Amino acid sequence: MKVPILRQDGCLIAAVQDALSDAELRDLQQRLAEQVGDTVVRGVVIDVTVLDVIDSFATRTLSTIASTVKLRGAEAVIVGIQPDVAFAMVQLGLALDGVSTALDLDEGLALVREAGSP
Amino acid sequence: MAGIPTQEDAMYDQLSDVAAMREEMGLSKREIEQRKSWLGLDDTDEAKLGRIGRIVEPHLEAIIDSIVDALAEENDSPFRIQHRDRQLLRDYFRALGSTDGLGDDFVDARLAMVDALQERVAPDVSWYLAAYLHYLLALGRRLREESADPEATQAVHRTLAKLTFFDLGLAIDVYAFGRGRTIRAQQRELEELSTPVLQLRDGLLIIPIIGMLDARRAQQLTEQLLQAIRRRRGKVVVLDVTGVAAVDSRVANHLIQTVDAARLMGATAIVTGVSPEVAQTLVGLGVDLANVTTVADLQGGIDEADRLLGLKVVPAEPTP
Repeated sequence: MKVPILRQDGCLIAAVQDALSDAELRDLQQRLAEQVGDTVVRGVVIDVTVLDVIDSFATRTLSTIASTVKLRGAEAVIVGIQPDVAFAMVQLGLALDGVSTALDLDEGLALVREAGSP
Repeated sequence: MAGIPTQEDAMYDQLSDVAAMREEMGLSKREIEQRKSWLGLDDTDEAKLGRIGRIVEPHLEAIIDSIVDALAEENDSPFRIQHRDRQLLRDYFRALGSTDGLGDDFVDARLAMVDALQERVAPDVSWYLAAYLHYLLALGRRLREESADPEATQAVHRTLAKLTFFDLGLAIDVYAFGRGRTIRAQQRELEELSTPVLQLRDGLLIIPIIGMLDARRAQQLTEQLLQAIRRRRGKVVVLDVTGVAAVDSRVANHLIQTVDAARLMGATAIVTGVSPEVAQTLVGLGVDLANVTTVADLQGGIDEADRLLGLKVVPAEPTP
């Protein structure tokens, strides 16, 4: 099941619907890289609210997506990491260093807007 | 009487909880063996139990009735026993009088029974003392009536007394533990109250921590903090540790993990009020504070929080 990518306000919003397999994560990375390459995008917001688990592969993939997006001059924000998931990640040393985070989609889009207007 | 749940039914459910209870109580095998040794309760006593049981069995009902009557019927007696609890008491003393061993099974079964008694009847220490005394005296009377040999009777009575005291000890252990349980529950509630999450403005949460911060409180703190970030949409959280005298490495690392976890949820955590002692501990432990914003006092922390939120506090316009 491919993660739907919506376009709104010059932003790409990837709303994760279900637990993600490694293949689905790679697919998401691929499609986002293409879309960020093809069009002018202000920011990419990935909403992981539904995820109960974010493991090391998922963390690396999200990091890679963020780096790719930033290379194209756009903002990357991961939103919706749940309290339990956040703490589990941190205990495993998966801190998503250097990647912007926000509480939810609203906050994520606000962050992109603010970044765009210094 | 069919249909009325017996103590045995309830006991079956409780035996699985008993092991957990014993561990919580700290009533180890070693402790039990030591207690038996202090009471002089040994194999020769255990060997006599079967014989005692056989002597006592035909009189057990009458003995138990006399205990229950003695405790229940005095009008001024503080030991009122409801009619439905008589069966519970019967089972309680029957199990004591008819045991043929003093091993783990016996101890576990007795602990479970006292627990049940505490729950249903909630007697206090005075009650236990009176009940056990009646039991011992009533049994002693029966024994003397049964046996022609005074020396043998003495020996059996000695064993009985040791057994009774041993059982009384278990009862008081469970009673004291129950009381301790209440105190511990209240303590936990108190601790929860002592780490409130306060909202100063939209997006700004303050958590003042007061008192000793141990691993358990730190864990509870993290849970409260992260949940608060989600529920109250916290963007900056000020963790004030002015009231914390000391931390160990486990707690320090936990605090840092908490700060990191808050960031994953889009919130920035600022730690304020780090005392010189705590600062020294943290430095000495080589704890990596690179990602943690620390400010000396709460006011400074709030100013920094306002800055991060893009807010500025200015004097109100003077009234014309």
